[in-house]
Amino acid sequence: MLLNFKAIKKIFSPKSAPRINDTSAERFNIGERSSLLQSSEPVDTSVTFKRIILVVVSVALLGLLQEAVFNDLRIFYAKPNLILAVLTVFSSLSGSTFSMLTGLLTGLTVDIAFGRYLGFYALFYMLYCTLVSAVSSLNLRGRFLYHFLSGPLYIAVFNALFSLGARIMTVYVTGSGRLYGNYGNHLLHRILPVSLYTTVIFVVLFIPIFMLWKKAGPASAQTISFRRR
Amino acid sequence: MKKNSKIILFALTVISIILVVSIVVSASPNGNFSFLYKVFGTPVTIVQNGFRKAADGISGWFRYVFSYGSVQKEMAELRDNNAEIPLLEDENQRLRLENDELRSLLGLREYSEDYRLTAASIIAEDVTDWFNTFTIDKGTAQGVKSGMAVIAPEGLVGVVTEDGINSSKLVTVVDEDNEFMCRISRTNELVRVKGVSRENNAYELRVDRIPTTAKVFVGDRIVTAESGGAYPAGIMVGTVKSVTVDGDTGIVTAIVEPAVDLGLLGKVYVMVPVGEEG
Repeated sequence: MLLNFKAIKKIFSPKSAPRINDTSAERFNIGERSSLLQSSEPVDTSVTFKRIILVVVSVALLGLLQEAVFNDLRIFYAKPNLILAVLTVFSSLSGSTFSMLTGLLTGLTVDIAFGRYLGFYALFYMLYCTLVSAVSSLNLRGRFLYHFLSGPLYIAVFNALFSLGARIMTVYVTGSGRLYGNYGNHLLHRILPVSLYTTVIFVVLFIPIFMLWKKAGPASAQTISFRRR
Repeated sequence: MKKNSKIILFALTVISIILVVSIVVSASPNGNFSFLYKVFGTPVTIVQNGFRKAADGISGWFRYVFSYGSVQKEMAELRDNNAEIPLLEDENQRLRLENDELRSLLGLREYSEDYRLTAASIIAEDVTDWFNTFTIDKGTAQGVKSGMAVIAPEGLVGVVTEDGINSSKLVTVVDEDNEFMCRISRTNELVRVKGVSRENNAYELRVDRIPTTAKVFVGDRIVTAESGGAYPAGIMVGTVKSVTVDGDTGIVTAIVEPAVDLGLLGKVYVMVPVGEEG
């Protein structure tokens, strides 16, 4: 079922991809639509028990895999962030509330089990998931190719902002004056390799998780409905 | 829908403020959420330990398969070298005696008499590599407590910062918040060593407060000093890899490569003071 190539082809075919049934004026009214205050969440983002289980199992499994396996599979000293990759996928597919809670609880678990400052990962993951979900609630949710293009961008932006947050935290704790010695080197040796590696994981995970997300949806909606509520 | 979004935004703001406060509290010297780690972190790390063992088994099998040829070659070389062992043993004995004599001259404490080394495996690392933390599979049940030094056969690794029942977290020596006094092994000069930012993914330490009379060279070994604190004296810290002299002030700083390869760390030893085994 996961390797339903016809379904996969249908997803990526721009002509056959479902479109949101709205007027052009509303479609291009980006400012209105993109604001969280005006979120319309047109995609089937309903939270079912199966989807909750899917999220919990996926995040837990990938988090454990990361620590057990991927810490030793470094490429140019970079290791991927599997939790970030899977959170990006789920946030693209789900509503803001669910994404916010997913990011928050995942981050808290990481903070308690592996982290150093309680709340640091929780804060970043929560804000990140909420933002990704909010951006995805634009008309883009119907165009799945956008997820493959925007996923790497989300991941790169997260890594850059997280690095800034971590440096601010370190400067605050140590009292040292400098955020970065050479930001260009930092971008080249750290942000880019980690972002690329995580993006590869994101691309690998997206289709299987999307298929499972669809299967775990409400029984009445086997195909994603883009009718506005 | 508008009301729903306002509620989300409000919840986001409130939770963010709470998390920021939590971060600031946990970063303060007295901030301690170790009770949370004991309650919630312990079951996670138990499962993590299982995953790690399984992963080690699988990677060990792959390593055996892919390195079979080189293992055969190494065995042949070892057989040839066996003939030299009696000669090497004599040299070893001589060096051991010389080492004991030098240690007693310098007045270094034999830390192995004052500490029991508890072996532990690294089961997890910081997810993003920014905070230099590792999780090991030993905790208070095995006598490991916060504040104990952690070493590897090559040298110093770090210090335990949080202890759970069956696991603990440690912060490595290269962390920027870490500064401690050391000695240059060759000259016995006292210097300060600090962790360096890992913005380029490199593991490095910086040596400063080098006395103007001291001469530091690339290749000099740095060892911990008897200055109190978590680290016992005489533990290898690293080797000087570059020396910089400020042209205006004449201040000398050196960059040190840690003795332990923190990127490939698997097994460590926690120095449990004798009498505190629990």
